[in-house]
Amino acid sequence: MTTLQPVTDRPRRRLRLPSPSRAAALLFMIVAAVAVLGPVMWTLSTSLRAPAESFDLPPHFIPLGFDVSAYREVFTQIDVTRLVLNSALVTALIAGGRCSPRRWPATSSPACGSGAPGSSSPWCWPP
Amino acid sequence: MILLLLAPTVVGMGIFTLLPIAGSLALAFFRWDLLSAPEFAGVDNFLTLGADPTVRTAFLNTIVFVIVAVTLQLSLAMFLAVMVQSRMPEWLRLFFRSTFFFPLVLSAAGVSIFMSYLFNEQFGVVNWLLGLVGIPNVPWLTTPTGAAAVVIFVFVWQNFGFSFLILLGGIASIPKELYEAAELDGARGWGAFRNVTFPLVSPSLLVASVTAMIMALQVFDQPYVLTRGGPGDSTRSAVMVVFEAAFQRLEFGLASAAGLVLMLIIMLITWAQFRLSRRFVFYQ
Repeated sequence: MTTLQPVTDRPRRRLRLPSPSRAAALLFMIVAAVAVLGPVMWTLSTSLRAPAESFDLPPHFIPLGFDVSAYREVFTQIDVTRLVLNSALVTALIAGGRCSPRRWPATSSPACGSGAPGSSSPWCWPP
Repeated sequence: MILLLLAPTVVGMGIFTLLPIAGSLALAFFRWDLLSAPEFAGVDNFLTLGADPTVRTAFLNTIVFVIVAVTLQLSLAMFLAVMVQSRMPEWLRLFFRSTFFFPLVLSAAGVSIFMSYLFNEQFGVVNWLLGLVGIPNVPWLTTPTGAAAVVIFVFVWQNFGFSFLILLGGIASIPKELYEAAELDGARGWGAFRNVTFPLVSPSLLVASVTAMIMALQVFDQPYVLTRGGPGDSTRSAVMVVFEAAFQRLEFGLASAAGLVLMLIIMLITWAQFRLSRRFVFYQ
């Protein structure tokens, strides 16, 4: 066994190409991702386009005439604040309604019995 | 003491869940238009439903839709879950996971609206893309088959992320040693999937399958916004029948009866899945 091997030999890094099945899988995932994001990107870019060029084909993803008039129209024609608040209220009620019954067992948790911080909070009533 | 602890849940569920369900089940046997008092109608509503060809078509459409859409959705979700769970940089996995789940956070009505633009026969991007490869303009939303295809596509597009996430969780919990053991026995790729992945992901697949079928049986947003029932009745779904009977014709008894029938169908299919799961699902 020779010990004259130069110590400075750097391990050669071979470029590892993905196997055909890995490449096909990656391609499929990329196609699926494009199919998912494509329509969303199109919608986003259409919202920023002047109405006249909305349906231009081929679709330009980066709008030629950057136009936020559509957004202005939405905010003037619809009371967005009220609608968002309504949705938030309904969501909070649903979420709260589903969570709150589970708060009751907290009254029997160790934290409520001791004098530790939080033991006199409303969550620990009734004693 | 226990009763006190249970009270909030029971009261909440009682008022907001059980009472409306009981009310609507009872309403199925009445005739009511919100203006006058309900009048008892026995099984008249059910007979009317059975005799109405639109209702029969709608329920049949829904069954066919469920078979096609759920098969597509689950196979796509399983395929992608296996691929996304394989070896890749974490950031790339995160990107794919977020991308595939993203359509679920969009509103179904909004999605249907912009999809109807994309599938527009003259100006839609889809036909333009097909034109690039030489396929002539497909009349997507104006023919029964085309409309059905679009409804199925939009539904699967939006909902496969949910099944994908469930299956991804199932696959991620499979211990890696099993794959190494399988490889020692000479099973890789498809063999590993058939003998390791599929059995161990079957509980998650059951959950994904049950939820996908229930959601597909209740499909409403996509067909209603895209086609309002399609050319003729070709994309009318069961829930659309309920909706239209209730809110367009003010026949609340009839609508409740249709809802009751749909509920029984959903319960039957779900029971069947759980029954089959005893044979096909492998629990460790």
